Amino acid sequence: MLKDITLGQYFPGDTLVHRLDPRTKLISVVLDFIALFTANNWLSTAVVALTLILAVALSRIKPRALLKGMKPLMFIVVFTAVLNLFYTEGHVIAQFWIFRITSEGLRRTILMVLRIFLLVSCTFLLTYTTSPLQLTDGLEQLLRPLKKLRFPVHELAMMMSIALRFIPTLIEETDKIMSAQKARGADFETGGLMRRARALLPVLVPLFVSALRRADELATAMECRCYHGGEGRTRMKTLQMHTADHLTLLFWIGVLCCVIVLKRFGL
Amino acid sequence: MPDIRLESLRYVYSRGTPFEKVALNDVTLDIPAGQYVALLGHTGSGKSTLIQQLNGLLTPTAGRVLYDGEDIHRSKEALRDIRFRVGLVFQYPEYQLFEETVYKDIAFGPGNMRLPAAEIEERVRKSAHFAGVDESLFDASPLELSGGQKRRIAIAGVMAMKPDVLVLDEPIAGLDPAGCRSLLENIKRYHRSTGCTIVLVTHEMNVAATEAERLLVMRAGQIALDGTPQEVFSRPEELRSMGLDIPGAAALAQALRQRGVSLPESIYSPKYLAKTLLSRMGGVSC
Ligand SMILES: Nc1ncnc2c1ncn2[C@@H]1O[C@H](COP(=O)(O)OP(=O)(O)OP(=O)(O)O)[C@@H](O)[C@H]1O
Ligand SMILES: [Mg+2]
Repeated sequence: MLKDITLGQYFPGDTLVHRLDPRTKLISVVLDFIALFTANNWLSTAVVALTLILAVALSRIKPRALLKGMKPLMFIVVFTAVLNLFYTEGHVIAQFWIFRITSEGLRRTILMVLRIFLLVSCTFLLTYTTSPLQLTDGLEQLLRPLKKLRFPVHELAMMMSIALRFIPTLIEETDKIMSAQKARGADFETGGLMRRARALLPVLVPLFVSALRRADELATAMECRCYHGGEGRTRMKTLQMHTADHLTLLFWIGVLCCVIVLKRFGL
Repeated sequence: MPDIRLESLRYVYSRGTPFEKVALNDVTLDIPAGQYVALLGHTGSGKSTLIQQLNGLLTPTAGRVLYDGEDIHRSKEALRDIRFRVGLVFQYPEYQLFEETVYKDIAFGPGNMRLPAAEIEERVRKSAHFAGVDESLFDASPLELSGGQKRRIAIAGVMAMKPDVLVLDEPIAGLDPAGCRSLLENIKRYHRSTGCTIVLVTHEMNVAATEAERLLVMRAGQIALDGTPQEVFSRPEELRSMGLDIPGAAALAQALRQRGVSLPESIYSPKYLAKTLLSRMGGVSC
């Protein structure tokens, strides 16, 4: 059950997509988002979709892994789909009881679902192919200009990488503690809401205790290694853009232009 | 008391993801009631996975787990019942304590069985005694105690359910030698007086040699060796190839044999080795 949470999970690999600079990938995701929100017709959405399919194919990520990540979002997708399907005015093509489906509604629904799907796939592709460390490194580099405005970029990036680093650990730990309490006859599946909430106590207490202990240990370990914030810190691995990165960015800009043009011509 | 039987058991972690991992591969195994079994194996050989099958915490990918001749996964009720019959003490159980007091924590298991309060109290006292938890600690917070004490409390918490089968995953890891010895004695005493089945997972060959009557050695998700300590330790090469060692006494006997002292192959415990050597040296008894 907890294993289904795949956000922030990284599938190691050695493909073109894996090797790209994290900044390239982050910018690509932003460009992809802009393109998706600009695209409002079949052809332009198809262009974005094709680009993503190409990226997925290059990354060798199994489409099934992407679909699995979509599962928790199914509710939102269905909800927006239903709203769009039944509450759009226009040319009626089907009608039963109080529901009315218009051709505009149908078109909008399909585009909307497609759009959500592409948005999410794109973010998943980013986290699946980029290690959390690289991701935060890239983010820190990209947000660097904000430092001038006294925005704590480094601290934020450090917090994010620690959080990302510990999500799998905490999930694993939760699993372990739940198993241990189940072995003592704890029952998490039956009973009303109150009972179930109370049944979680034997899991939450040890989990918090260990999370605090871990935080404490981590803080000590960081201090022992003279961590003192971002000032004057150098990196072991500096990020470097290569030809592939420049080409990827150019390609995405091309896609974006293409989408804008297609939108203009209303195809 | 009932027997446990595993039939062509197979278990795969993270099925259908790139992290797929076969942890158990076609394990068939009988554990008769009342046996003291030691489960050995290199890190990652599947010991913890195997014991989580015994009380139904993991559902087999293929194969069956039979308890008293019946599949433990036949119904939800049966599965819940089996949790109380097969008591499982996890590795580092000290991290699962959560109640305000030691007493309440030990009583968590029997409380889940919905026993009357008087019965719970009796069980808590008895199991605390078996696990070596002093009653003066009953009102203390488990979080304030030492690691060794916490582990005893966690073990008492499982013993308090009076399981027919007690499974312990590396209970002595990280304990000091004295604490280690007394904990093993406690477990042995519990085994003798209740007659329950014990499955002890350990990395310590010396412990396995002296405590258990049967050894199971796992390699890559399969049972590689199965037999009495004598049978298993008479195959040191195989054990070494699995990244395991033979007990100190057996190693010493082997070294002596190589230098021409004629000793039987079956020596694995220090006591027996000492006896044999002494008798060789002129019949002094010990
Ligand atoms: N929750 C899990 N998800 C995925 N793989 C796992 C999980 N737990 C264990 N494994 C894998 O299954 C295999 C068997 O693990 P298991 O924990 O049973 O080994 P073990 O014999 O208990 O080792 P150790 O002596 O280190 O405790 C290992 O290769 C491990 O990587
Ligand atoms: Mg283990």
